Amino acid sequence: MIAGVESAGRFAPGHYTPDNLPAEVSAMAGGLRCGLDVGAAGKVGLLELSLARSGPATRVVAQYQRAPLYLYRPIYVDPARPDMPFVYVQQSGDGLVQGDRYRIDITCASGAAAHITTQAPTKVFAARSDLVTQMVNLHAGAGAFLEYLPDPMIPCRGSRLFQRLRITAESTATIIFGETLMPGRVAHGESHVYDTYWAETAVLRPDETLLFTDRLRLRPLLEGVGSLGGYDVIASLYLVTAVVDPAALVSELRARDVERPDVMVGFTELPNGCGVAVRVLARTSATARHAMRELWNAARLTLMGLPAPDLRKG
Amino acid sequence: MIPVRGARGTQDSGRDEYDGLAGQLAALQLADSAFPSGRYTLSHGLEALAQSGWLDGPDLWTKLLDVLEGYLRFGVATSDGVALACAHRATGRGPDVSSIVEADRRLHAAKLSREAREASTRTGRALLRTAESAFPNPHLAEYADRVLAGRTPGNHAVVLGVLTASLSVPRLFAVASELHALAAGWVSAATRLALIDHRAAQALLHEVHPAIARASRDVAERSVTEIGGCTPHLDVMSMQHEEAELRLFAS
Repeated sequence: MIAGVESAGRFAPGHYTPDNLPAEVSAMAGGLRCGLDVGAAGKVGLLELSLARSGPATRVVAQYQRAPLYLYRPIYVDPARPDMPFVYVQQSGDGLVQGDRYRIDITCASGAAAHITTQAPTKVFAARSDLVTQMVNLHAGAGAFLEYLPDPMIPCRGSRLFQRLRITAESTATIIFGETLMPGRVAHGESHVYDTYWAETAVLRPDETLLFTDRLRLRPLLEGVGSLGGYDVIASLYLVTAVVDPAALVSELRARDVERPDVMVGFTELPNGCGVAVRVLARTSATARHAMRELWNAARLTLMGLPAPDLRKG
Repeated sequence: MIPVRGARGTQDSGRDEYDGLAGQLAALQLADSAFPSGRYTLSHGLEALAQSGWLDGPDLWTKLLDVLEGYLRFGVATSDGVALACAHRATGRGPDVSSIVEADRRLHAAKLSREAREASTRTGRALLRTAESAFPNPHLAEYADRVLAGRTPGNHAVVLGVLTASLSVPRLFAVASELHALAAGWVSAATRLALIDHRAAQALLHEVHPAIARASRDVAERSVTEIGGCTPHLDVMSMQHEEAELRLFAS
């Protein structure tokens, strides 16, 4: 990926703009009437990262970044997996702004292990015109172990986001990934008052066979939020693996789970026998984050016999 | 291949008005709750919702209406409805079996809970078996062979898309009648769960018809990559229903 992208290719709109946009989304992409327009310096954040096994540990073997996306040197925080880098993707602004385009490409090579996260929750600010798009492409090679657990997204009043997460996984790779959607800036009294939050997820084999697809498509101002059943926070955790049989994995995760007030959790086998999905609905941000942390811990204990480490965030 | 009368006949009912009427009658037959596809065993998450206590308290009618409308608009229409429309379009052209299979696989990949997938393929196969004897037609054969060989899932909506196209049911009407059939099954489940009586059930069904009409128009022209729903609350209900020890329904 990194070697293959000519520097000019990186700046072509087709590189950092998702294709096949739904009609409702492309109708929003009209450019900006003032300030820096779509595609301007500072409005296209790119990050390309290649992780591969090097001696006893996984290392960054290639990296390209363009502001507002950047990252610091990965840290090795898991005492049980000293070989595993923890990569904190950062965005140099306060959050994502109308007209921003982001694209992240991360490859975890055969036999490598890595954890990708963010430094803090990501705010999406109100849009008067256009929208924010973000593409995240992850590749996990044979026998790779990849975790992608960004902090929650916080869509502010009137914001518009379209995100496409596309994961390509070899059949022997194990991937734990998830997302959390907050109702907005709770301290500002925001509760699902954004314009559009549209996040598509697809997991494929390298030959493009689709394993499963999921999406959060919420347009509360236009359509209401009936599909949330009155809950404020929604989170999902996905385990794509061939290490443990999906039915056994569901049983194990259910057995490890505890009753929590104000939180609803469901476990199920993913399509095409590729793993397990966990859906979480919660009344508060704190209970959602706590549940996700415990579920991540349970997933790690089940798949690797190791607990989730402290990520040293605020 | 024997050309089936009016197989392309979706918009051209003026050419032969009896073709159009026959198509609508076929849609009524397929949407009938007595049609043997086993859909009376499905509650579409309603049983789990009742068991969770979410429906307790006042405003039961409003809650049921919200849940049913949300399920139809954000769940069924944008996933099964789009897949049905894609299969219908692909059949009208010929039939293009690889496009039908693509819609089938995509719909399968977009059904996150095991229970939802199993409900869809079990009723799809039952529909296929009845269709093969009741409505024999060459358009169904190749797709049916692939379903029976386990090479494609055989979702109910996709089987129905192929079948309605070959029976000259217009696409929009095919989508709308499938949404109606699901809603009718849903309100019937509500009566069997003793949530509402039969009159209230019919009133509820009538109440969601405008939403069904809007949702059908919204999805009838969408493409295969747009197949997918967003019903987080009902997803969790469906997942919890999978592990429920006492249950009347299969979903």
